[in-house]
Amino acid sequence: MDCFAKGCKNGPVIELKYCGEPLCSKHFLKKTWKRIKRHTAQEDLISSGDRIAIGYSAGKDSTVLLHVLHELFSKRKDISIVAITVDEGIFGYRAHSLGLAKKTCKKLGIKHIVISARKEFGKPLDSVVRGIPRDSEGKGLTPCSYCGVIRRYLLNKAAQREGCTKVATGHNLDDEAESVIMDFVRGDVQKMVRLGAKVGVSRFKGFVQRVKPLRIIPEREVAVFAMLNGWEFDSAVCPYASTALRETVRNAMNSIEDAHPGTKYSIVSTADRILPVLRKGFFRAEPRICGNCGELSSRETCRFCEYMSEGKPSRTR
Amino acid sequence: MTKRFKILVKRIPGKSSREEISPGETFENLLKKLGINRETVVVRRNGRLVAESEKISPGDKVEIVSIISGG
Repeated sequence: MDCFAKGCKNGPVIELKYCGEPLCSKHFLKKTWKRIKRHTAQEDLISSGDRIAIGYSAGKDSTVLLHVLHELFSKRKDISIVAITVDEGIFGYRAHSLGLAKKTCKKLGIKHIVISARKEFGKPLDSVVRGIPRDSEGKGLTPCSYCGVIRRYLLNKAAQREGCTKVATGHNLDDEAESVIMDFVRGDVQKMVRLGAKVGVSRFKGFVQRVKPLRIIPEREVAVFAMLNGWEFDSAVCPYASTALRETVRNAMNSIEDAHPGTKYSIVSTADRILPVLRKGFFRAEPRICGNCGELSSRETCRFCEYMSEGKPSRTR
Repeated sequence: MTKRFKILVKRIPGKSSREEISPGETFENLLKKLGINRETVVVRRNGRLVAESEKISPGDKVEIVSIISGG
């Protein structure tokens, strides 16, 4: 079998089943670059004057994001980049990726910031997990519920300190499709209205708008893109990952995608078409200021402070 | 008639095994046989990425690399 590109006789390295295209290395790279660039421009994700904080864990998604944004914007005088790595405090999980993140940023000449949960509020995620309140049957929220809130909080905080106007994250198509289904599973419409390529309210001081340049690229293609470009990334799996609803949804969705290629695109594009109507129809509370930490929140006390006050007292104030 | 043959399959992360392959069998067939969803892996033949619809040849060294990482 030859590459789908006209006249190309190279052997394919990947087959995009949803569009019936087997592609060689050269044409896959070309197509992927084109799609990311087009998505970034069409959704107006980055503008002149932006200082971009890249959420960079050194995993495959954020590694691709780092290299792509560096390639696209490092020569621009009106746009600057800083990489931020969140050290959640999971024993044995971050050691290698932190070293790799540091090395890669140095090589590319990108400023690199590490923000650590332990340093910021005195306890690592492992301690928070040990203190998760449980009911009489031993059931409680998963570690990922806490980790997601902590990571977003710390990333936003570090981006603010760096004077950033945007936070870019490495969310891929799979992540987005999973989030849509998870919101349905949980019946969380308020969370669903916050999905999209550009998230958050830029008009409020204290919140840095989040953008997702890789949102239209399937996870598998992000991995192949990184491998073909020779970009080193960390493949460690978080020890808490298997406890998450996301894992269940991911497995189900991969089975459907395998049998019905294009499902992930359908889920995300359907959500994108519904979202504007959903946003109009559903009341979105105006953000308030958290009485504890002063960050933006939809509630009196933000989720981060609520979680941190469980178990041992926090040092956030 | 061409005979069935055995190849070395290495799973990353994971163990290596020798798998019996029928003539004309593709990498996609192999993944199905091993109970692996193609959405979760990429396949390398003799160190190079390969589309799963390609046929397996005698002597191929196959690596099945998991792409699931992070949280």
